[in-house]
Amino acid sequence: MELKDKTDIFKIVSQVVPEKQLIQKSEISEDYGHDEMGTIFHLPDLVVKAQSTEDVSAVMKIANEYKIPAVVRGAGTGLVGGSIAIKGGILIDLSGMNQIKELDADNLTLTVEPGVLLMDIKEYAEKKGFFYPPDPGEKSATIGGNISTNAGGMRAIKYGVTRDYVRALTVVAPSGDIMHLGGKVVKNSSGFDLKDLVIGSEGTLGIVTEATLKLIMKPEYTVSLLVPFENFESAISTVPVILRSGITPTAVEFFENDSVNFWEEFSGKVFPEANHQTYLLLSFDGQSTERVEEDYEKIAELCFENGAEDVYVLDDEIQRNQVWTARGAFLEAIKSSTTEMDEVDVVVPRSKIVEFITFTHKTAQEQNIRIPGFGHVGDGNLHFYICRDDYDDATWKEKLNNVFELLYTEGKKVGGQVSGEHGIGLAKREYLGQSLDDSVISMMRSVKSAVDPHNILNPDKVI
Amino acid sequence: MNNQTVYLCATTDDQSEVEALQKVVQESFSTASITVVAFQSEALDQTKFQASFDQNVDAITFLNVEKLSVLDPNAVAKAYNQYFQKNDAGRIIFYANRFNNGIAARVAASNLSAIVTDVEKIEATDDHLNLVKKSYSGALKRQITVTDAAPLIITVNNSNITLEKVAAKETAVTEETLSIDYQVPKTAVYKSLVDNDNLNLDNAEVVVAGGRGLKGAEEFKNLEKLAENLSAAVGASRPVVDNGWVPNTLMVGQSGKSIEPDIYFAFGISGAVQHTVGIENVKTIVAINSDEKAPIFKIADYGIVGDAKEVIEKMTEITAQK
Amino acid sequence: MNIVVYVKAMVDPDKASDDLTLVSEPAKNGTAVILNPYDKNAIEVALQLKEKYTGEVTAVSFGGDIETEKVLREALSLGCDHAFKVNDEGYESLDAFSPMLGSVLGKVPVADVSYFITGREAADDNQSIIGASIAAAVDADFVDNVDEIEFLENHSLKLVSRWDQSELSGIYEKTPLVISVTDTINTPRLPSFKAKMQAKKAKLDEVKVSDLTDLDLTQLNNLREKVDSTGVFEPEVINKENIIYDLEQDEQAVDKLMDNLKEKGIL
Repeated sequence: MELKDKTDIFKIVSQVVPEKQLIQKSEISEDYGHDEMGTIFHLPDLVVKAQSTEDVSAVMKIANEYKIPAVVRGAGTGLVGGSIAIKGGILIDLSGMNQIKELDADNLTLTVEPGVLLMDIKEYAEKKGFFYPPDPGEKSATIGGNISTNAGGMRAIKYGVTRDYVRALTVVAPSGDIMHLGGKVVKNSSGFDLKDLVIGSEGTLGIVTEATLKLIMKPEYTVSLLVPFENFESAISTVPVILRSGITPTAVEFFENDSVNFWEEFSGKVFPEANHQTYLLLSFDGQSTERVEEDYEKIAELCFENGAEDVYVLDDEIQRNQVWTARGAFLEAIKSSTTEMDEVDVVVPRSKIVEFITFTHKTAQEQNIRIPGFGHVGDGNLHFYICRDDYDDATWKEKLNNVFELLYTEGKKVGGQVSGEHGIGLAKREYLGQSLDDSVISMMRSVKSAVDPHNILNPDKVI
Repeated sequence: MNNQTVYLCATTDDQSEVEALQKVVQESFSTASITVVAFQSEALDQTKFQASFDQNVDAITFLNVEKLSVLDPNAVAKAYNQYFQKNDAGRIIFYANRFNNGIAARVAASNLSAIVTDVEKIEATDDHLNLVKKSYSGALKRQITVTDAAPLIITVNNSNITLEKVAAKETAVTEETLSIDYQVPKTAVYKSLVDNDNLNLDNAEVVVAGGRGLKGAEEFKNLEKLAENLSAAVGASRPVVDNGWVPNTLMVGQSGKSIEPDIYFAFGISGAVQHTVGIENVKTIVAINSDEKAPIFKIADYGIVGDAKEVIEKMTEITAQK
Repeated sequence: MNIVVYVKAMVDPDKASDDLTLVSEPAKNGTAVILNPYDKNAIEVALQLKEKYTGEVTAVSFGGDIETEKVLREALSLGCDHAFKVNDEGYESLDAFSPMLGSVLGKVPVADVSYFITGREAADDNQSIIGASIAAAVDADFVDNVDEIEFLENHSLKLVSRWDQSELSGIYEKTPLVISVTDTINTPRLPSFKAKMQAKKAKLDEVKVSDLTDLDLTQLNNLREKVDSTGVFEPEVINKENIIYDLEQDEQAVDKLMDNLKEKGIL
């Protein structure tokens, strides 16, 4: 059945969801029209503040029947427009489903609703001696959003990404059917793994309304090393040596002095040991001080052997916070250094990082545009920010397109992928199409049309 | 309680300094013989100061150092030392602030007296004093017991008792001009940081302060708008200053300022003791925090559990209508 | 010209309020002991002085074996050249409530000292008296609460002291000089790995209070007997009667709060 007049949506939905959970038309705040990046804007016709799986299921049944587009939103911290209702329709806001439902100490699992914030999960688990390792920079994102983009973060090399910590999901299908995928089990070879299909599908295949996450025991000790190098080649060529050492750091971050300078300007603070060209920032954790000390001492020696100018040991919380706070604010600092910016979140094989950074530096020079960057070199995921500065609208669009084109082509050439952790959404869709084999895109489309024949769930995103 | 003279020492005529000293007499030394020893400088108006202690104490002495161009704590301490070498240094009391604590420490070091700074409570018994002060910035308290036989210097915080003015004594006023052996440093400049011309943390009746819960420098601009509507000064917690969102001068707490506005709005401030130690004397505290378990709610008179950003927005709207 | 910096071992404030026994017996749990945060700023000033004018930095700490050793090795790993442990055997209650500790520290035998540096206060007792008593012991001028430092030619320093409501700036040429610094004067440097490895093995100098011969022990003991500072307790929990609104449950929360404040004449 087609809906003739869009104003009817409210009437129909209000029969299954209480009116106070609905916001329509002119009452919808602008905030619902954009995400953190802010470059794409479109408002939905109706916002549903869902409170339960049943709410979501009931709304999807209506959407399916009347073929109304439906988009899911959490905290709106995405960077690629994935949660924006670009075709109007219904926006299902899951931020109110924010209860932590159960901590199962025997199975080491935590069951949560999708609107729980990452920082709340962290705090809740750690207070009870447990640990949820995935650590994306944006701590005020919802777990639902993390699952739908398969968010990665700083600790990926040692602990893996969000996908590795999802044991079970409750998912509402585009038809409105409720599905229970996975379970509190460690192994599973029971049929197709639809859970893993839903993870990272950016709300195009189903709506996650409950998740059971895997926890580990909280590491008692953490030490970070700040390691300055004379140039980025020697910094990055040290990374494989570290990864081969038999000791796995929790994080291996890379940044250059331009990011440090932006941060100093932005914050008015002094970065400790600021006068170096380039840095690695490493982290180690474990259950005993001796073990962690042994680990970082060995790695420190390796860094010296590979040309480190010095190695600073951040074994006290204040200093660790100082450096990691700065690292966490690089994005904001770069943002404030320019008028407008856009980002590239490529991930390349770790052996190709030097090559890719060199290419980026070259591109910046050739296109005469600033492209500061930093990233998780331990896993090959780099973040570059293309800065508009004083360019006029037309030149900026042209330059941005050129840079995107060049970087994504190079990324593909070295065997990389378009997005390491931010997702595709709307902003990166064109580049995903160019970088994957046609057969892969076509299979993705087949899956999408089989699961969502009316193309109502987050339409025109990802593929 | 023995009959030692209690010396009250003052370096300014600030109301809080004068009141704190008067209160300590009323609370703990009401029967003792009291001498006020005030240091004469630009920071202390002799007539005004004398009036506030007249008929309440036994004696007031103004110490005057010849040719002293700037208020240098080394010079002030030397003057007090000279005075106490001639007079029995039994119980010496200063009002606790960072400047005075430095003077008190210097005098104690020269006299080899016991010294306790920032005392909150004094209990005098027959032969000793029980003092209570904050420890670990206020997370704990420490009791120090000092026998009467020991020379003792304390600096006292302003307590909350109401002052009863009893005019009962004959006050003898004297002046002493001293020459001390101290050269103030070359090009020394002393200046007051009290700014009475502009609204700021020291003089505002309303303060709106932000913490980590504001999530970024951006939100402080919105807080400034609210401050304008309320004729309030803006404050901040240490993590916010450390993140570089606002300058050092806005910091409230252990490493920053202690303030006493009538009403203090804490937006997104969790309420660690290092912060709350700076707002102890605020009359009304309003806490806004998304975490209902945040310690700030324990000391708040009013509170809103909710997102600081949202509340700032709404408050700005409401106050703009006036 | 040499520099002495005084460092204090104290119990981590976060741990102290959870377990009061740590405050009376810090050595029982070595991991709870930290270097007084203000003293890190003092070390940074000492290192900057050394870099500017040459000389060596000696860190001095008073107290029990385990605690002082921990903080002195940390001082070495930050770049101090020597570490001096002042053993308190028999002087357990030589504490922060008399200038005697400063008298003792001032007597530690380090040659040719131009600057004595210390943190404004220790974050455990918040007394802020040690600088003054060292100055008295070594007969030097004392500049407290230094919040800004500038290194001028001819070994002179421009220092700005900041207190709650006033500041004093001046140029100081005379040495020796005792300086206490705030925790906003600088950002302490990070400990380097090489220095840390060396600090692990470094030999610490040691002196007993009773060996400091020119110290008047009678006077010291006399004062010690008259002060008892052992009582530490948790502050009373005042459960303030408060009015709390919940924004999620009540959209009018902000309006209600503002109305209430106006009604009571608070705003």
